[in-house]
Amino acid sequence: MDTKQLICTFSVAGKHYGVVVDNVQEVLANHQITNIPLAPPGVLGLMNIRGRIVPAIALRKVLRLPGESDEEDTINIVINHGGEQVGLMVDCIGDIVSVQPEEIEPPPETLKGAPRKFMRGVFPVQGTLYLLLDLDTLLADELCSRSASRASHSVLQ
Amino acid sequence: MQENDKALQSFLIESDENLGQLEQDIVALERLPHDSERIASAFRAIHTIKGTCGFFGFTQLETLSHALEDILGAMRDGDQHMDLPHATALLDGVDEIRVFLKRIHNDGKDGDPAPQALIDRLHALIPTRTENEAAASPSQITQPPTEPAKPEHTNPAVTSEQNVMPTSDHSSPEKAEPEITSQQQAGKSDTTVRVDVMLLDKLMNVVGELVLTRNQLLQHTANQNDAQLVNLSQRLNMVTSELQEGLMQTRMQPIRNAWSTYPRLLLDLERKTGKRVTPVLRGGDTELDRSLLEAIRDPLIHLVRNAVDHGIETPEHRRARGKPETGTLTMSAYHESGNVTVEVSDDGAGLDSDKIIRRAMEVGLVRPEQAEQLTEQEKIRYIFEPGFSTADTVSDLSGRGVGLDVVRTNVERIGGSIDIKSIPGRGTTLKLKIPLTLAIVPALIVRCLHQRFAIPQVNLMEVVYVEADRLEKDIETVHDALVYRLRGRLLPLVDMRSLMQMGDKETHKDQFILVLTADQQEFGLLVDDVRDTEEIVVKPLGRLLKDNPCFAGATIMGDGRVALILDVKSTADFAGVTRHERKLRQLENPLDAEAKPIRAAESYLLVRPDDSTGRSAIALSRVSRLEEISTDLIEYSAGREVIQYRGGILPLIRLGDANRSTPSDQEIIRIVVQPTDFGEVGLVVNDIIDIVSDDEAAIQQSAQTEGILGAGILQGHVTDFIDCEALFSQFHGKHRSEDSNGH
Repeated sequence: MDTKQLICTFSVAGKHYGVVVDNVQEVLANHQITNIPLAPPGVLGLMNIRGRIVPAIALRKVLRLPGESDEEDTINIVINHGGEQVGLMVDCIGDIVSVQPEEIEPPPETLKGAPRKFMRGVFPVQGTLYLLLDLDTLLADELCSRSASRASHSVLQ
Repeated sequence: MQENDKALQSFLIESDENLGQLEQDIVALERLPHDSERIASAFRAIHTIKGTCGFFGFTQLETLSHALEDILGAMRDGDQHMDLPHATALLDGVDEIRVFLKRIHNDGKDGDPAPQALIDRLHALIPTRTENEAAASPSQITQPPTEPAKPEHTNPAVTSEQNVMPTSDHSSPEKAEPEITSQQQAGKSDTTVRVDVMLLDKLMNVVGELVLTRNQLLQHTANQNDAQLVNLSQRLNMVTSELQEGLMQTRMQPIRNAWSTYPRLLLDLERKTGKRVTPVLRGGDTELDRSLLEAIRDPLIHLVRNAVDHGIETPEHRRARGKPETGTLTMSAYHESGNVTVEVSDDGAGLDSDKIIRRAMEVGLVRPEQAEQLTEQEKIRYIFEPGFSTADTVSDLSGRGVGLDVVRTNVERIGGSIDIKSIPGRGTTLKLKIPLTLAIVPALIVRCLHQRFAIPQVNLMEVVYVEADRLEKDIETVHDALVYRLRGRLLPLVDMRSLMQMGDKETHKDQFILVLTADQQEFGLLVDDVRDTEEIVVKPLGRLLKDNPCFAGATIMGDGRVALILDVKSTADFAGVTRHERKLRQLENPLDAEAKPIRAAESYLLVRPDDSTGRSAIALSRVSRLEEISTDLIEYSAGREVIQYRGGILPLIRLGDANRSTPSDQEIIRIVVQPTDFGEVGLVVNDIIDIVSDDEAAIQQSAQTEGILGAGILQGHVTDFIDCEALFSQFHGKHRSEDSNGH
């Protein structure tokens, strides 16, 4: 029986990542995004995907990667997460690779900081190491879910 | 198998309805024990349940329903009449049947027998009969509980035949019942179908999509030069609107559905509190969207509990105060300006505003020095604050006193509002305003910087236009808070850009103030532009954005872009313009308030009467409405210009050159509608310029013309002040004399 896992790869700020392909619904380029005032900093805005309102996640920001992504030519990986759709903004989309489960190793001890908690593991593709993202923890991160303005507003009061 | 599942499903649905009916009948009978129609209806309900149980082989449930049937049978035969113990036991039986039905719904089996104590209690209430009596109604006793009742269900006629032999009058109602039931059901099923709610919700979503696509198409065709396309899209437009309306209708349910459990609820409450309450239900046919109906079901029950528990007094108290011992609880529902209003009112003790305010001070909601300045109404509203209860004894009926704030939150969540009125010693009325539907709402589209937002029309009172060069003067700052003087009142202003942290002001651009209401408090929202009103489809924002402070949802605009829908209530909270916070702020800065006393200046409507003459001012207090109409709507009555207006006839007076003839081609004219002693009159003007509020406006030169008070300088222009009184009496006088000449 084939136990291989299909992983959709992509890169953000020159680093390589992957998400399990089962979660991926589609990949869109240059989709129009409407800003949301007072939104969590990791949420870039809202997209209209065939009549559905889908939030776009600034993956670079959530992964605490440096630099600003150029909104104009970013690619959107629309994933299905617990019945709701979410768009992940990435710089570059890669191939879909198949990986044996035993090839996925736990993230190295040397990987530290906030991004570590989003990693499900590490897998190699043609000599390059890719980080497999865990969508549950990623989307539960405070940069995605907590409205920053609300926190600052309560300080004012 | 499939067939059987369907049959089981319809058994569950029907039984649920039958139980509801049974429950209502039992409660009604407890008050009027000899209502034979009610008895028959109750008997019929339980009989159907029992019969179908046999068909499916649910023996345990059958045993229980049989016991209930026996009691009701005895009542039908006059051997027994409904009293409180009977009603209670029967209602407990009904509850137990519901437990069974739930189990059947989950497992497909009826499982364990009903609690023996309940069965015994029910059996104890079945009157024992002598042999003679037993013979009179054989169907009641001769059937052992476990005997399958299949024949009764499949063919009612068989049952009747069993009962034909004894020529007693008693059995005839039963004989007739099953036939009537089946006839009624057949009649009903000819014109109605049951539809899964999930399917309706799905259809509603699809229609939402259709409405969006329609909007997009209309926007697109507006720029095209293709007559056929325009035609087709117009037809699509109409069909879509009709479809949308029709589908909305299918989702409408009468509010009676939410009320059906009240008689039972009241009976339970009466038993626990020892109070007597008569329910009065009015307007049960009033319909609203089922999702809204579901949303207010629990809040309403809470209000009913509250009214009985805290409002209505004990019979002794009531007698001592000269009221009838039995309290009245009135539930009414009616349509009012696009909303459904639901009222729960009792004739109880009313609210003690002093007690409420003492309690509010205790829990730190209000400071003593603030309390003194509050009006009665404002004091009472503190019972909607979280963590508030004035009940001297916390009872298990109304929870722990955390109720009313939850009720308010729930009602506001669906875009409704709650209001309370109370007269000490006379009673309390709670008024819920609920929107008709949630899925598609009319909204005003506004722009703030580069972004569009949708403002629900329900919250919008008016829009005020402020010219760029008047911004500084008209919008004042009181201790960092923006305010605008709206017809002599202070309107707190919220600048959308700074609230939303959207960046800097576009300086020297015209601005619009949206006057919005939330929680009975008005505030103004400063935006850059006002676009259009549109029917928008409300879409949820999703989990990630659920705790955003200002938006109720999003919608898709005609050009396919997303626009956010403002949640006016929470925006007001977020900006701190709601009642209490604003009160606090004002009280904290008493000096500021004194330093800038608000002069009650008269406001004027600036108009341009016609192309040639200059500006005129009409006192705003004399204006009821402004209208724009096309000149082809003008008709003539006794040689005078009139239009049909709001179901009546509105005479028109031309402010400018009175001899000016009506232009033959179609033209838009503006009308200032004014109330007079003899009804409303419309002043026709060429243009409406602005509304100004200027206390320095004074007449500097007295008039030479009739109908004009004089001239003064307003906004740097010489302006005629219109003498409405003179104008009207002159007009009226003429009218009169013409009339009398004519007759």
